[in-house]
Amino acid sequence: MPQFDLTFFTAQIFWTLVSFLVLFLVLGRWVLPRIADILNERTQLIKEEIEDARHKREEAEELKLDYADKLAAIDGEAKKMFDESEKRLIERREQLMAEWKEEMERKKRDFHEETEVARQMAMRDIRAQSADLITAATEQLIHQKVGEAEIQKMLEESIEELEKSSPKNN
Amino acid sequence: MSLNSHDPLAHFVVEVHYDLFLGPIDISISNTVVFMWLSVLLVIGLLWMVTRRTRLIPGRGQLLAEMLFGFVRRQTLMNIHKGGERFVPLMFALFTFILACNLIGLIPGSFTPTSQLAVTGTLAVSVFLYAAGLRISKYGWGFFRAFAPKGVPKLLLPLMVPIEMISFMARPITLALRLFVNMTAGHTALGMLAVLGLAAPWFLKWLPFGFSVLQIGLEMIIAFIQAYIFVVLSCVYIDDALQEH
Repeated sequence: MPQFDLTFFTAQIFWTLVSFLVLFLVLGRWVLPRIADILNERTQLIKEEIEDARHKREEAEELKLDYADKLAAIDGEAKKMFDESEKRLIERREQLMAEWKEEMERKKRDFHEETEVARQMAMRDIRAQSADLITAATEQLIHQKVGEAEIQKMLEESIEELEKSSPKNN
Repeated sequence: MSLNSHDPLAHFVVEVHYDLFLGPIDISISNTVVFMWLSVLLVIGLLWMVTRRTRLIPGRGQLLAEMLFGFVRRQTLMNIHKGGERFVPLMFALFTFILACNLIGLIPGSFTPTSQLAVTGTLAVSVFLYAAGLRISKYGWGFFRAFAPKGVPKLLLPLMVPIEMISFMARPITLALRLFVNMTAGHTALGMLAVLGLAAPWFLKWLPFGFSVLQIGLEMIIAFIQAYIFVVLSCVYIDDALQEH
């Protein structure tokens, strides 16, 4: 095989070493630092972006928690306001109901009083008219004068009996 | 790769283009040297061009260079467990040098520097001596402890030490031979197919030429794999030199 010919070994060994060293030095001095730099720069940028994104996510989480707290506070406040409003409404309703009941009671009392007055007035009128009618009727029946005191007495007794027999008014 | 229908190994013959001597040492410029220089120029030129103006969002060339660098860096860090970062430039230079020397031989009319035992042997012995030097500088005489692994019964030491020494000394030989044989075999097969294609009758020419195309594709893969194997084994030897035994 021609590869085993020792004649050219020294030259090949020498130039292999020189060529490889040249390549190693040039790559190591000029080319690889550029590649390594740009890779590091990109890695750094990606790291910064990730860090930035992490910060933003943390901020968003904080904001979210803050909003949740605020919402909870607003809910509490609204509930409190609602409870107070409900309580005020209930109190107002009870107050109105009490006033209304009082008014109704008062009206009822007035009505009873007026009714009573009217009744008594009616009774008085009835008595007066009845006494006249009874006197006239009795005088026509017996053709003699009846004393006013007797008629009054009879009338009283009739009315009392009428009152006893008739149902009571409320 | 040049063709000679009488000798399938003719395209491995070293031809001196210019006689040159450094004192008594012959440093003549041969086809091996010329194509080795071309490989080096190709690597430097291409990488220089694509990394001249590096951008944060890379173009195709820069991306390829970064991928290549990332690949070699990963392999180095995976195989050299302690302080692998400082060996990355060396491994990258070794990988690109071998890859370019392997690939340049696939151009018709060219020559494959890595098909020369002297070239692969120089690289392998250099790596071997570098690893041994690292071990000696780190452990001094402790270098020899690697031949008597811990936990081995004393009775077995007379057997183990020679085996370990042979295994150690065989490293540069296997490293050099693997690359040399692969390149020689691949290019010989390619040459044979090409000669067969030229010699075949016109209606059968498509068969060897078709295989040549397939073989060139395969050779390109082999060129990459061999460079990868050489670098990985170099890393393993350096890692072994740095480990405590």
